[in-house]
Amino acid sequence: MIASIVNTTALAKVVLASVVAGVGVTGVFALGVYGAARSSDMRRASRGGAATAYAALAVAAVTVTVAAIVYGVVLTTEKG
Amino acid sequence: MHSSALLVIVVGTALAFDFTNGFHDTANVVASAISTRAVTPRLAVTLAAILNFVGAFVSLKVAATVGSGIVSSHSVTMTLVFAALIGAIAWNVATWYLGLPSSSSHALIGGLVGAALAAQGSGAVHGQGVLSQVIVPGLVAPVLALVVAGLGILVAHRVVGRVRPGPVNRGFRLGQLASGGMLALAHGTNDAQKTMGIITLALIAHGDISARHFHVPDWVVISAATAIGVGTFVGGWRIIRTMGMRIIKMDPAQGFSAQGAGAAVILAASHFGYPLSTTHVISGGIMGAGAAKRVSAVRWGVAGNIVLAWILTLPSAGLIAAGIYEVTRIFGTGALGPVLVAIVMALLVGGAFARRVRGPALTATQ
Repeated sequence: MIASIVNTTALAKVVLASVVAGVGVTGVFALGVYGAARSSDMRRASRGGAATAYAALAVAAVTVTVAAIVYGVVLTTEKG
Repeated sequence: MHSSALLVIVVGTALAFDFTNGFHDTANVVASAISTRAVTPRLAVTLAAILNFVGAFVSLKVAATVGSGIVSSHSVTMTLVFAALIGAIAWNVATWYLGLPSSSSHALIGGLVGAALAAQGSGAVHGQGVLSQVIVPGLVAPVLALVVAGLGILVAHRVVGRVRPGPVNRGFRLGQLASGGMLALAHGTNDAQKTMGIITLALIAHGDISARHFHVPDWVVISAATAIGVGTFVGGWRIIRTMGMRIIKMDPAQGFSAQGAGAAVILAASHFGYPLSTTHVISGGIMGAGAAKRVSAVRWGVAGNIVLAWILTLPSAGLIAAGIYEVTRIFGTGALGPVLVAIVMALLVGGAFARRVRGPALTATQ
């Protein structure tokens, strides 16, 4: 009965968006932190190539995180 | 003349409610970032106030739900809106004084439903709207935040688990600037809109806006945004004095995950117009981030408090609002009743505040 009253589609979208945004952004940002930390370790070990690769991973992950946040805010501001 | 005076009283009361909402919820918004030392208390409070203000401009769907989805806007009067607000404020102050759990959002909706029932009977309440837009999303959201934060921290620990904790903590502290900012933005989005919806209802009752073409005027958005922003800022300085007692210990990754989960759930729900208890959602996120690391680290009493708040707040605020409506109506439909009730209410709130401030709860600085 409740299912016929409640807009389950909208509620499911809230659940999906929250899981994707909440877990996804945390996971991607963690990759950025991992990349930054490992890049620092590699630099200290004088392994320039690996340090650059990990730094690129960090930059890419942080970029994706920022893009996801901006996209989320834009979606929220959309009418419809 | 009388109705214009009444409108001024109702709008003033609504903005006072919005101010207390920001004042009361500052701790929820900034606690994680301060406890992990991601930001200084001063910066956290300032950012939270600014982003609460900005967040109020993000969406108007929650305002539409409060303004047209809970009670029939055709049958709303300004006395009804006033009684709803006083019911919510009275319940918030009483629970704060007695140390009982509460939710400002639930108090406001309970007050609105209670006043509408007293004024017009059950026909004035959109029962289906209350169930589908308030009760079910309100039950789902804290659990969702708990699960999302828990999953988030499990993924994060899987990724950075073998890395030295120093750089990891520094990285997540930096990330908390963004996640904490998003949480403050989400808080402003959902909570300020409830006040916008209430003020718009009063404008409909006053005849300034047609119930058929619901829209929130710009001055309502700006004033609600300002009230919640200033409330957050003023509330924050009190929090800084007392934060030693209140803040939950967590590592920066947990703080990031809890804030991110809370922001994601509140923003997604705001997009669909669901008025949530932001306090409950943020508490759910903090519990999820804590439980994923160590179940015993979580103060599960908080979960019990949320359940108790659920059981108590909606009917209690509704009963108070219904009583206030009946008392106000004794003095007719003009401004006299609300003026007298507002004076009595201000004296009671002032008295309760003075008594409470003298006690240890607001002055301890452990």
